[in-house]
Amino acid sequence: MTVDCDRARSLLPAYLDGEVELPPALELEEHVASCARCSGLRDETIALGKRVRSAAPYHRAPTALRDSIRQEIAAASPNQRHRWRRLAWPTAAAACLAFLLFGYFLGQHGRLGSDQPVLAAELVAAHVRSLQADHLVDVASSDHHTVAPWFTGRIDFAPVVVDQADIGFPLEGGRVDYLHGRNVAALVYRHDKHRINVFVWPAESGPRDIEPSASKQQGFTLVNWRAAGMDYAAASDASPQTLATLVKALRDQGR
Amino acid sequence: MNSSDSASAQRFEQLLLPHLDAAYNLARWLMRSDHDASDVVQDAYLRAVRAFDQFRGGDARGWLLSIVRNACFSTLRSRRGRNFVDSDHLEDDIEDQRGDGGDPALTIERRALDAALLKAIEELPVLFREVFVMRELEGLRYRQIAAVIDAPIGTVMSRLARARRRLQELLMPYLGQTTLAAVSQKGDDDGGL
Repeated sequence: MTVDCDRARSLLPAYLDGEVELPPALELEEHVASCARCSGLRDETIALGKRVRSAAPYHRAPTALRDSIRQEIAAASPNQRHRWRRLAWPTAAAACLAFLLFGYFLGQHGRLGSDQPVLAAELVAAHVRSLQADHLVDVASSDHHTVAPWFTGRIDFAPVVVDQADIGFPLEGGRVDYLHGRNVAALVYRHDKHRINVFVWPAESGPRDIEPSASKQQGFTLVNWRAAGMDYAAASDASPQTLATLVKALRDQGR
Repeated sequence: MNSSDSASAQRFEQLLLPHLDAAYNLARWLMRSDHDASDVVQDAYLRAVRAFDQFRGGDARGWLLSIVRNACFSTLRSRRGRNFVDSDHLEDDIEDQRGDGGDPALTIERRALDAALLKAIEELPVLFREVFVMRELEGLRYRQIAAVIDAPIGTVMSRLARARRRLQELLMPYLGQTTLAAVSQKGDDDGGL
């Protein structure tokens, strides 16, 4: 036996954090499997991490802070005032076109108004955060009978939860996230190596249904739509085409 | 020249704005106040914009977090005097406080357990708290944490181990004869918090 209890105790935390190389990890596993004290320590360390992640809040940046930092970034760039003059014409033309299109979509849908860009940034931040903080799902299950009831009591509405594995988008689970000043349901789907967060929350006002509109934000694809009085936003690094497939299935299912 | 400024501002926004929550979370845990965290993060982003031409690619989140962390420490230091991050002192501190964390008569009420846990994390000395938060809430790898705090990986490991041991000790009175694993298991089965 190359790993004794002392060595196991010192290696365990790093092992559980995924920071131990394979050969010592295998020896450690062998020891822990046969040692009640060390396996108890392992279970306690795992339980501590889980409790911490469920009890300790992940503090998200207030919207006001996000806004003022955006303004600061723009202002901090030197020669800001002269920038527009020297912009290449194609860029300016593209910017105008994008602006007009954006205005058109806003006019079309008349929703979210000037909040839209803020929400898009928040959606991307929520998506990025969910992938990084080892906090993708609070309830891990591909079974919608498990995921849907889990939301009861955690949020004040009942999202439609449907696994889409048959079209290549298995449901991985769900969690409660915080967007735009309210709790929202986040459903996590997987497609190949891409993770897709689908955020759901009740619409505040306006029509009950709005056709999907896609946008790109910081390299991520976002799709917003409304169905049966619920607002949906899907965020992923998957292509818009891929996301469209999932969105179509989710909308069909909700009917 | 100016269009490269604009490109640089855009690149900054794309690389660093998605990590605003990570920046705020770390600052909020270190400063323990919403107001201070906002101030520090705003200041850190300004510093980051100015220093952006020194960023050579790689881990943008780690780069930002190290700036946030330094901004937190300089604020804390100016308030509490120079020795606030003296690590020997903290080692003593963490030993001295052992066992003062709860009422032994308390049984395993999960709400009480979670509240005690939260309080215990907030009361960890700042050098331990930052490592713990970056690992458990931010999910950073040891080498990323080591880069943020500019210390060897061994330091990260020993601080993390001490922080965890401390929390486990503090929870002991709440657990009595049972274990954290058993409590959590029970809670998961109930489907409640």
